[in-house]
Amino acid sequence: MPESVYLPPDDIVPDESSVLKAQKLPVDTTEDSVRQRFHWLYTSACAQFVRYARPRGLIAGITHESFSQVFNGEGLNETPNPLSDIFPKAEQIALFAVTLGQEVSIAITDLFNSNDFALGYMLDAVCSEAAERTADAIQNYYAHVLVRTKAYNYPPHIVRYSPGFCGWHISGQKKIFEYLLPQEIGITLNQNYLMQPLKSISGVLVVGKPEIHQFAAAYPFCATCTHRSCRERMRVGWASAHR
Amino acid sequence: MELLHTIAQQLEQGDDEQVAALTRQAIEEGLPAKQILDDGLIAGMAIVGNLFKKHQIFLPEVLLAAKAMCAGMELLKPLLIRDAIPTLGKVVIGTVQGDIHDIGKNLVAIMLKGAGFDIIDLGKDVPPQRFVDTAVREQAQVIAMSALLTTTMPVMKQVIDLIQITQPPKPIRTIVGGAPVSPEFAREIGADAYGYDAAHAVDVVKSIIAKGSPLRGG
Repeated sequence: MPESVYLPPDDIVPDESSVLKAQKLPVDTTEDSVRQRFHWLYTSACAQFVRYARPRGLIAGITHESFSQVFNGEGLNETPNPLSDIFPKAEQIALFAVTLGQEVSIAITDLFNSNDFALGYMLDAVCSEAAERTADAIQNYYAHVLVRTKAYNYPPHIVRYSPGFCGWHISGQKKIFEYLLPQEIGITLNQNYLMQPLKSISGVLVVGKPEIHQFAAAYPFCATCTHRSCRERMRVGWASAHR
Repeated sequence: MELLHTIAQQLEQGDDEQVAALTRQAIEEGLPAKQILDDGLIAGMAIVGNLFKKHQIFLPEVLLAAKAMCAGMELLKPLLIRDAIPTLGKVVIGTVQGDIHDIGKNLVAIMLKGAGFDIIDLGKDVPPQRFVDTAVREQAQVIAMSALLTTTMPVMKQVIDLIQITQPPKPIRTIVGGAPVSPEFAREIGADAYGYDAAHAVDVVKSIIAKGSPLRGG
């Protein structure tokens, strides 16, 4: 049975450095001038975020067998792909979906429509980072559920994967939606497997020893990947449990 | 002209209130609308564009300058229409059908406007027929398409094929962009050009309008 989780927007506001880095601004310098130039925009965007965002998530445990059907989806995954080898070694698996809600997406559009482009762009960047933080929070929540239900004595190592990345075709969203029913928290899927509201993430949480998640980014699809977030996700694992 | 130079400077600083005030002053002083546009607003955005390409300023600052330009354009537009002042060209832009990502498309539209193009922004989830019908009706020279999903990229080819079928009275060129789009894909589907970011898209649109390229239709 999927479990809903509601999060206060204040808990999800991303830090300034990650938001500016996401916009490819050079903040990793000893000079603070770049950060100072945009601090007012960042704080304005965060105020808008806290006002309009409604972070929420849905999570449900799933058996290996059922996940195999979800993962194989419409039969369009790249072969080989890392998750095919990883999930059979998982100790626990859960499907998840998170969203920041429609209101904040409307706020971004309204800012662009009123020519407040810089603030709209900054709010979009804040929301993209915040969506990841919301997924981190759901991952952390799942870790603590596993401890609370005595499946583990301490928060386990968890890495998440989403359709559209690492060889898992984006059409994988369809089976996730059939199993998890994220419509319950206001997320819908269009015929091109695009989630609405836009600032939504879905996927799978894979619990297991860190070594099961290790793979070399040498698959054919890695050559065109612009995210490379797999490296950080492997390294961090259950870091959200440390927060 | 000192006043127009000051407009350009204030636009560079992203001060939309000052740009509006100075544009109003320039109009009241009887300066021709085209001169205010070219030597004040577009001149300022050109400097901003160059600083951006040299990485001396960053995208948020470009967007603040664009807001300032819009503040000036709001005052100038009725005069430009009255005087029938032509723009650099007309571009129909949108995110293709099935896709609702629009930040990148918005940035391209903003930069094209700042460069002096007339933009008809169709928004997101735009059916192929609407791209072509609008371009033909508005006599646009370029259709600019954005897609952020591999599942929606094929719609770009539908638009290009539709232009061929429609045989518009004047040639319509196409430029495509978006994270999963590549120069190879653009060539494969017969697009005239590919833009890898907003600033590059402006240069490319200027180039394909000025120099011409393999034409679609007409």
